[in-house]
Amino acid sequence: MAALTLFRSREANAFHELVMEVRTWWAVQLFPRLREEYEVRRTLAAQEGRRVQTPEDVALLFSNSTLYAYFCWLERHVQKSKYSSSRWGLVAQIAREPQTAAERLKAGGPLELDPKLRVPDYYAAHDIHQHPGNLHGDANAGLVYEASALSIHPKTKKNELHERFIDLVRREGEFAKVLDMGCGFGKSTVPLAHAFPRAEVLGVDVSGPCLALAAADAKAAKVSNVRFRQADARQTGLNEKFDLVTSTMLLHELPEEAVDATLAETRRLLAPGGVSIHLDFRTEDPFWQFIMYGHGQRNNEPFLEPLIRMDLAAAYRKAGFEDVRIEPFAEREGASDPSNPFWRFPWAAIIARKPA
Amino acid sequence: MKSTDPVVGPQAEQIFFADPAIDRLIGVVFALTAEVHVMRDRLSLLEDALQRNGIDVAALASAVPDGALEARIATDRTALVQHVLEGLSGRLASKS
Repeated sequence: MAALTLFRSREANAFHELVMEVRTWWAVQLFPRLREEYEVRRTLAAQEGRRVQTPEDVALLFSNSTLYAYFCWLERHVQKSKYSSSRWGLVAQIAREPQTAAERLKAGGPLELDPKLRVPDYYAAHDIHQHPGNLHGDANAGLVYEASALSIHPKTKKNELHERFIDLVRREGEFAKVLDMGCGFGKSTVPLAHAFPRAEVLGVDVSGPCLALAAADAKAAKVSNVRFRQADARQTGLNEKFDLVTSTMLLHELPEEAVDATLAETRRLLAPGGVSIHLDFRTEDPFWQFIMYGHGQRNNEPFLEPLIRMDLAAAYRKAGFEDVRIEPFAEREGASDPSNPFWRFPWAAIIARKPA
Repeated sequence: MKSTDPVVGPQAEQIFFADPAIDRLIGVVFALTAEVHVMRDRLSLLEDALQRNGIDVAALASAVPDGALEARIATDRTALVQHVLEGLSGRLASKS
């Protein structure tokens, strides 16, 4: 791992290097032990005539597991420390270095904010990812979110996930007008604009601070075919049509009725024959469902479990889509192979078409 | 023995062990680990710089801090104690 240069403070950088190291240890050392323990407990249960078919069955197996308690503790508290340590946590450290923040945001960029936009109640009710003040709470929130995202995909190279997402999009065709919903700080939006240089790309999100960072980065990178606008994906207020609508990691932050509304808005905004690709998390494996439901609780993402339980294919069809496909997505080569022993998100691309 | 402490306020942190004292204690261990790592990182940088500038690093073992350096060490000690022990509070730092 190259030395971090997130901050001017070497101490703060060293602290976040440690956080990433611990997070990686949790994912590649502790998690495989937990999986082994699961297999042992499942075998013992089978010998006693108990079947393990649901995430609730798995929860019962782990109800007295010390290893699982440590697994949970580290997942919850390494994240908490990353954001909220009084010493070098992201929120405090970024506030301590206003010149760094000002430098990142000074480029400005093509951004249309909506001062009247009120963030949805379900969004404001939780500090998602344990981010104090949430992803929209203050001017630094985009920078805090971006820095935090560095340590969520152990073993995956920086930008690899988003580059592979672009590869997936390319396989679905060439696109001239692209909308990226819930675009955050533009992690996928800017690569989309790079990948389709003749396309017009628009990113929308409810968080002004995230959009400000996205727009500044796009301008600094001299990406001219992208713009950003503050809007709620459920009802964007847009009156233009797109031939591709995407999102990455948006749906699991929405309650079921908001997922339905977002799919309806996706369909409304697509031109006939247009394609929708939402990248999120799906799993049919009860062990992984148990792990992800717990992740949602520990990481303040209360709608993750409802999304995984939701019949998404039916929701898409109800919203008027056809050719709905839900495909596993590998954030790095081989990551979605069942033999991969490491912790990861069970990514899935939900690809659908609006009837021509 | 399971703790019978009342939950103080609406911001009670999630508990993963039968005794919440364990949850809090690991927080202390984690913070200490971070402190040690950051200090060792700093020490390595410092010793490398000193050695490259002809200073005998081994002689630092018997040095006595005074004046501004002594005050700086005291301030750092206060922040270290706050960091290491804040995990004991059992309180959330975010809304949920």
